[in-house]
Amino acid sequence: MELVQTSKNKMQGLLPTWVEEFSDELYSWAVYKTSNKLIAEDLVQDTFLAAIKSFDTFQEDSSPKTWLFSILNYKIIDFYRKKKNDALSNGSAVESRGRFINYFDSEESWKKEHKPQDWEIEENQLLDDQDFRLTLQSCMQKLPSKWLSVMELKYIEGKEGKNICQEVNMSPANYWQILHRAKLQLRGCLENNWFKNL
Amino acid sequence: MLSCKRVTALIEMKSELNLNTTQHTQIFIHTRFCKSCKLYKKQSGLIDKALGIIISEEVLMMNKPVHRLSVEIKKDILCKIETS
Repeated sequence: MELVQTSKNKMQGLLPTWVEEFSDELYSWAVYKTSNKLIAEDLVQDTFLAAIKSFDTFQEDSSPKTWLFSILNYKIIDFYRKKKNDALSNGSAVESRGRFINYFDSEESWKKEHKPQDWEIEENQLLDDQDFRLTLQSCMQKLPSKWLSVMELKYIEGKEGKNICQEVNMSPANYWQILHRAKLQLRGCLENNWFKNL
Repeated sequence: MLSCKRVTALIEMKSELNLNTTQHTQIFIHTRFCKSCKLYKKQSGLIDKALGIIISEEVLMMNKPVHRLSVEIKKDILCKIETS
């Protein structure tokens, strides 16, 4: 009981300062993502409500901003998912976190049903395609959190493998394996949820 | 010839490491004969570019609030925290 009380006190002490500090950034982000101020307001409110409920899962050594943004990003993806009538969550095999496709057979060749298809699209078109972007983000969220943090270090901070290995205390072999697996899952997820719905 | 699994792993390493001539040749030969891995190589490069663009745009946005959340809504959230 006492423990619950302390955690609640801590939450009521910390969260108001986060509202002050981050709500404008969260709101701007939501406006950018949804192009709708009313929806963005709702999403930010939902984000803080979720933060109240799941405050216990916040680890003190992590950044509150990152934590809040990750909640908001779930809310945004959820919003689009509902809007697109669940188009993203239907018909794909890579769905819930932690369930992965093995793309290769026992001889390490592509399994027939998982061979890459030709996306038949120009690079420029692809990078401007809003659906492609949203699907890619949604596919990223399905990766295990450890893989995701490796990908973020690589792509957000432009770090090289050897520095990332040091930072997250991982062997190079392990790093390359994660990157390879993550890329296979991302590619497969894009093919299933974006390309096949074109 | 290397397996598809190993060649796709090499393709991922290529973006960051200087592969040796043998490894380059292995990728070259394999993707010449294997249509699936050739497509993988192309799509992997595309995904790299897309991730780079999307993520850097996002980081920029996240650090620069261009809109302000209304005071009423902030109050509302603070109220909910207090009564939780």
